[in-house]
Amino acid sequence: MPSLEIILVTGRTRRQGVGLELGKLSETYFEATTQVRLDPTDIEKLGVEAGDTVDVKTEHGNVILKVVVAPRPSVGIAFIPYGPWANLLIGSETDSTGMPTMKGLKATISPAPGKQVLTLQELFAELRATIS
Amino acid sequence: MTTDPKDTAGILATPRARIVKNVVCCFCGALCDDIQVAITLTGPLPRVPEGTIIEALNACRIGHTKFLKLRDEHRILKPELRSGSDKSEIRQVSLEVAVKEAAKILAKAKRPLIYGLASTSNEANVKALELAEVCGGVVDNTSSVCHGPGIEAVQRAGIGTATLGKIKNYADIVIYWGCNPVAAHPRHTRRYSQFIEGMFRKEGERKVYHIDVRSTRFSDEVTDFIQVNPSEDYELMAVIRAMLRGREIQRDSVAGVSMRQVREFVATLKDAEFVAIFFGLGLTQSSGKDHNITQAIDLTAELNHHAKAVIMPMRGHFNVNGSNHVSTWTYGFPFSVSLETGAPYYMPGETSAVDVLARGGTDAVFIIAADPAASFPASAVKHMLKVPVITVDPKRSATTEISDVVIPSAYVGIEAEGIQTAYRMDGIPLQLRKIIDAPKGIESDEHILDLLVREVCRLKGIKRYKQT
Repeated sequence: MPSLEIILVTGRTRRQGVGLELGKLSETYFEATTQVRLDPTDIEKLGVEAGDTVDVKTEHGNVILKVVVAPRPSVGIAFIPYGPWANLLIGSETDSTGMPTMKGLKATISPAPGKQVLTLQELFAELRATIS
Repeated sequence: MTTDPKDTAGILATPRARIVKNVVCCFCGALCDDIQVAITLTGPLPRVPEGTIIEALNACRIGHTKFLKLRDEHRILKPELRSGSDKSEIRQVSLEVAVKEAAKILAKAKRPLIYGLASTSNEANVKALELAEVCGGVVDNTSSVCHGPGIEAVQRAGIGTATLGKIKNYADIVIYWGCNPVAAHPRHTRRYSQFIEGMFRKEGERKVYHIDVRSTRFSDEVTDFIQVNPSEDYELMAVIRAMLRGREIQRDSVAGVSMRQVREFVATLKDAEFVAIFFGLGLTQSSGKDHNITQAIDLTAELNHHAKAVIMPMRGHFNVNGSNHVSTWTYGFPFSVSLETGAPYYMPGETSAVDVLARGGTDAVFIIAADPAASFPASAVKHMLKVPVITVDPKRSATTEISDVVIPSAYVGIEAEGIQTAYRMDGIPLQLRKIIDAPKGIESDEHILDLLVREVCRLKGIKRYKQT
């Protein structure tokens, strides 16, 4: 199965902003924060289509997200809107600043056919399962 | 081009609604203060109760959503005690019972973490700091995962800044670096830079630059978009500083930007009269963090040899700047303050919320006006799943879903009672006000915090020295 080395950038989108004001449990927020925006050429390299699920991995964790075509050229960059799903890929090392590195991380993306995006409750259940 | 804000005359004027003008939008740090809100009067429309906001003219799409969707299904109307392994067993209780339960947790804790405070008033911030004092805990606001590194840079390098009004009136070059105002501060360019004339800047006299790692819709609207490689902003700024000093760089490109584009940009900067740099989390959340901002401040200082130049962070939550001000005027430190020894101690990386949680350094978490379960790295959130969590918030959030005690609150600047102030991103304090009643039994953050301080003092036998 193909996989792609990519730079991960998390950030704001207007849809995510509207979603967080509607409510973090709203469908709008879920849809806005469970996507990964990729350049069409990167999507082609992965052999997937918009709406398919992919597995995004960093050294800190992995998450299943839906592919969305990036509205502007962004070859080599995967953009994920801020939210609990993006945070599964972020480490808590802050370089003595208090701030985790949330942009510019190395990530690997591979297709995840048949896998579903976790709901918020499922995400917390998975985190609970890893607590020793 | 001047964009006049819409006026309600003729649009909303109806005998069935009252209009409140000059309302401050409590969404982002730009604190737009020209919102015109229409509120229904008695029995105007079928199924729309009196006191419902039916329009918020001039607000951006996000602010509009905030004003009009206050009372949807995600609003919490009764305090909750949550139990069970996944906190799904919910018992609705009175405010008194919820406060007693929360105070019991906080009074028992050895080192509680009090976090949030960015989406509430300065007055509530004062009470939250008092709560941290009586609990002997760590108090941090959301700037530690926002513009905290920028504040650390200011402590090191100082800052030359200005008000947004001054930038609007004087700036001929405006640079947005590592930010996307279209998504995060949707009216910023319309009110202060790109789409508005200033007193001394007429249409076409202002150039706007966007520097970022990826292009967005905003990039299409500006004079020039400069695409920098991820995590290489520091290098680009260093080269621009050197070229402003007259050094020639013998390279084809720097940080992914062609030298031709850099030279053109530097030439424009040298000819400028007033340069304003707005920076976002693209600089504070990528490699370099505080050092990126130190470099940006040094670049601003360098520009002052050629023109007047100022720099300003694009603050996110509407009063995150206020939480820094209140913490600073109280303790001398803007965020991440530990009060466990009885004296304030500030050490980002040690007393900052993410670090405290990731190291398991707290035995109870109190969250107000923030949602760390949605904004912290998973490894930090994991510790929140192990310890008791209390959340004060008007709506359900990721954090309320993992909380033991949930106390609903009134929206600051819309429903909350009392004097409320917030600091805009440029440090201008604005007074907020109540425009509609909160749902029955829902109190302000300030009032809830006051009740909590009182109860924790009672449980711990502490004499309260700050009386209100």
